[in-house]
Amino acid sequence: MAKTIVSPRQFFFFRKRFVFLRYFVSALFIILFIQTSYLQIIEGDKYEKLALNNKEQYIPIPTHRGEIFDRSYDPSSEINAPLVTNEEKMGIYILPVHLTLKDIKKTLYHLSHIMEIDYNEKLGQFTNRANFYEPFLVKDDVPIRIIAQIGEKIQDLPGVYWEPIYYRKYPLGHFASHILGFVGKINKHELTDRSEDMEYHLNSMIGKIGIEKYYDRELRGEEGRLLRIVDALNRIKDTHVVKKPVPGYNLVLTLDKRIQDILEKVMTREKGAAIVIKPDTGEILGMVSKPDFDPNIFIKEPDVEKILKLTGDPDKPFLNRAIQAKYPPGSVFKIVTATAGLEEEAISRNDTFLCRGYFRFEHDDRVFHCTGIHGYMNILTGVEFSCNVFFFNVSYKLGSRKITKYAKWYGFGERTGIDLPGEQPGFLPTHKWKKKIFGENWYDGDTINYGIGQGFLLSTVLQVANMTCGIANDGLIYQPHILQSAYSAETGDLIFKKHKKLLHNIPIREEKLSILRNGLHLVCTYGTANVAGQFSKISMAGKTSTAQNTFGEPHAWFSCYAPYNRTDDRIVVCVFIENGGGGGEVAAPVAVAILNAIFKDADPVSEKKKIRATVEKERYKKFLRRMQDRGFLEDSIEKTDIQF
Amino acid sequence: MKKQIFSFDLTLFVLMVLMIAVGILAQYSSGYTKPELSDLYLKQFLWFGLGLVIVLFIFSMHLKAIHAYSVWFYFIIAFMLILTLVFGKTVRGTRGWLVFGPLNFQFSEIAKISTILVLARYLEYHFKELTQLRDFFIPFIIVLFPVLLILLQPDLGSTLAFFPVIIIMLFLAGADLKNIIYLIVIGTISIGVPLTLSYYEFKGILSENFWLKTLLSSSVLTYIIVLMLFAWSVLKIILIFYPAYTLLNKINAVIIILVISLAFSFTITHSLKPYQKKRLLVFIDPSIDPYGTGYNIVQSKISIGSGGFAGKGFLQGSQTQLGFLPEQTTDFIVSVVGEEFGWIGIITVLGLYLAFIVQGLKITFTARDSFSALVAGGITGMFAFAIFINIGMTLGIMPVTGVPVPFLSYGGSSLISSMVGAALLINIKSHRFV
Repeated sequence: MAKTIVSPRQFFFFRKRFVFLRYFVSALFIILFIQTSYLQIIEGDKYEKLALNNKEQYIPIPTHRGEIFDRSYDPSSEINAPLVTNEEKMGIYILPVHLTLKDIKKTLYHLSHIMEIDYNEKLGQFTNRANFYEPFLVKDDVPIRIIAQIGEKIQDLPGVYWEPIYYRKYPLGHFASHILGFVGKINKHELTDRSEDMEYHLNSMIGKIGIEKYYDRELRGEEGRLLRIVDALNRIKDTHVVKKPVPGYNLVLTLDKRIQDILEKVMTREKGAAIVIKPDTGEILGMVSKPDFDPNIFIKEPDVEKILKLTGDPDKPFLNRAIQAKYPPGSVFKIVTATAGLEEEAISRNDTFLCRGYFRFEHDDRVFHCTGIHGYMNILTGVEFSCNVFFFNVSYKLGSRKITKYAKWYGFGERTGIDLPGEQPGFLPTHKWKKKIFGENWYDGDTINYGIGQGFLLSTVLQVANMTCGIANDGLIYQPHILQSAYSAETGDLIFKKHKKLLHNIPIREEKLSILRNGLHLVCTYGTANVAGQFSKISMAGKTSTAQNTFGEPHAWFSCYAPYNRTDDRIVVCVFIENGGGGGEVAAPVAVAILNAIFKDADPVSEKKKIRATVEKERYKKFLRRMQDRGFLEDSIEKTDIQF
Repeated sequence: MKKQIFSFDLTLFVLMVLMIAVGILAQYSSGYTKPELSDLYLKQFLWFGLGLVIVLFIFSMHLKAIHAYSVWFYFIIAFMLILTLVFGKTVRGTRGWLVFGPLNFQFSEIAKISTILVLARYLEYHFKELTQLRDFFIPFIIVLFPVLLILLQPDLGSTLAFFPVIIIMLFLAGADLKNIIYLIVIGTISIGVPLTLSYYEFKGILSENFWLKTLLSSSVLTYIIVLMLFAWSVLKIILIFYPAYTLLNKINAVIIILVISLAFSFTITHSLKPYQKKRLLVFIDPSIDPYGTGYNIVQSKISIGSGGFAGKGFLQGSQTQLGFLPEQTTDFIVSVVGEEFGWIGIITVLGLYLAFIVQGLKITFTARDSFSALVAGGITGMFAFAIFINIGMTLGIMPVTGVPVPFLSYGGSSLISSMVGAALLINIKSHRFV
């Protein structure tokens, strides 16, 4: 503050300006005084009438959620069977905006005599709401007879109106339930996430999982708005549509109903997942995860008992095992190690390693076991018999970093970006990560375990299928996707079409790839999948895997592509069975049954039964032969009667 | 201390408590039939209690201390505005609320007071020395800092209320009238250009007229600004050789005013949200949005007009009770008073406000030094403009800008900053002879 205080009013200009300010402020207040007197005293009567007569109400006009079709959808045809559709029911609403709480209590009381509703419960629901301006749904699925009764008594029921509600319907029940998903009432969290979007409000339904969730915005369309002018007694004097409702887009999926049906049938008992992809585009033709659920239990009046039973199920039926869970891939990962070995010149076509049934480092006592005693193995026989010792040697020569480099090229350790929610990225271990988590260095033992797909490595089923796509499609991996195109529901015009997108281009030379393919073909003719392979009505190439894990029985994997000898119309089939047992014995028969059903229209269920029976028989024979070799059995196997 | 409590000014305090009481009554009425608003008046009561504590704290401070700490206060509030930008809660597209447990606080309200304090501290040393446009530079920076932080939220309504306050303070500090007029011109162009632009945009004229569209597109506007700056520097160089060339001087001033206002209008065009543009435009032409903001104005006028001379009675207003009146606890609280207590009610409220403002002006005039005079003038101006803009809006003669009315509107931040303003006024009055 200034040392000597000078009061501002000693300045002449300050006095002058102060007086001006006083007049200015007075003028502002005089303007307000004149305007309010004009409104309230001179025009008061006019506004009084307006207040009595003019009551405007806005009501949302519901719209159709888009339907979902499979790839056979024909835009020019009128009769396409949808995978997901809508069902129209009548709902009774109260629009509370111009009513007092007393009015609403009275209305609810009257309604409780006409319909079967609990007055106290509905009143409780109403008073707990946060917003007074949105319609309150009293009861849905109301029969026409009741609506007629309400219509008669509408004078006693201020604010009541009825309107169709479109319920989601999944006509095929369990069919592709993880992919299609289901809708449910929006929760607080979902609502606050979308507070900017006017299409989401308290009464909204929203996709909870699957396509319904991922493409919710495309499917939902836009609600319309109806303006109603009512008088003081709530009689409707005039209505006009302020905004027309816009129905959501109809989505066409890449799913093939026939192939999906085969997958659903063939995988009924197993816990696991199966995927069929077209490798040259990345289109998913079929994807199934078991156990599954019927989405219809969530619609209309949700079946709480069934839902609770499903959510408490230790088998997690809502988990999409194809993309949302990660497992050790086991021997299928040997494809990556083999590619790395061939490309990095760590092995050539003719290099052999001796398999004595185990592997040991020099100066180390630890023993790493093989699946059998294979003798001298080269790259072809190594893949064919899935010889661990061969791949231990290859990965030891390569080192973990080179394996990781190729694993990344095959898409391991990162999300594929498929258009379904909740995809897992899987996991590729690094030296740094092990140091951080275990406080230990990375050992050579970790490297060789890594090379056969065991140890810390985790992947999703989709990633393994995607890797097989790379082999089938000359090293090109396209992004897997479910959506093919979207059509306007009003005009039937094409809104957008999904184009294929290259995800990875694996730098593998043609001659190296053909060695690998040859090995994979041998797997299905003489190798680990020979029994199932001989039933195949089409030439195929694939890899089995029996992945050890800490949770119980090993996981059974089989990932293959067919036809082997032709490049056109190739498809990739990947079968995963959680804690199923041997890949060749459990997963391969399922995959062969799927291939036979797809290419030759065989019945997948009987096919699977037949193959499984033969596989079991062969396994038993092998067991007997081994017993005999060791001198436990006197009779030769030919004499033993085997019945299945 | 003793002397201070003795000279405690009861008039302003009683006026303030009366106005808050009217506000709480109106909030009780508007929450009477609506479950979601039913406990607002209680919350407002709690805010009032918290405000009283802060008011007592300000009484206990000597004016010298307020003078000394004002810069600290200014930077703390600016820091809070930055925190709001980072951690704030977003409501209707504006990230303006900072959450402290159960309390949400909007610092853009109290930022007006901190800006007034610092501006007064600067102008105190330059009393009657602001003759050149460049003397306005530092006051300009002092105001621009919080204003930019609030514009980033983006909350246009709160920033608009800064400018009349600043102009009043500069006016009282003896700034050249010519320069004040320049400032007003800059402000008018800055708001006018974006408004005209968006008006044409809504009417669809912009997309039809090629020349208008190119001229007003952002890149062309930037070129114009750069070209003008170039012309200005050329003129400036010529002026070094011919300093007495008055015409050139005038041209120069015009150019610099145009550049500043164009730059502002450019920023405002880009920070205005479509709904804010609409709100301002509806004032010019209500037919643009008959079911949105236009609806608010119409319903407010119906509420006040139908109140008539004596009103419909407490808790009896159909517009209020049946929910026709939008935003009735905040922006349109005066309409609730107008409907239920009629002309008498509004005149009472206006009378209370007028008495308060007259007291504030009296304090401004009798203040002991220029710092307190400027603070008192700024705060009184802030109240006067908020009152005029808000009540004018409810009466349909001002645009819907979302400025709450002091003491009556629901909202902790608005109430507390108004109470802080009143406390400062009382404090200045108490110290007028000390």
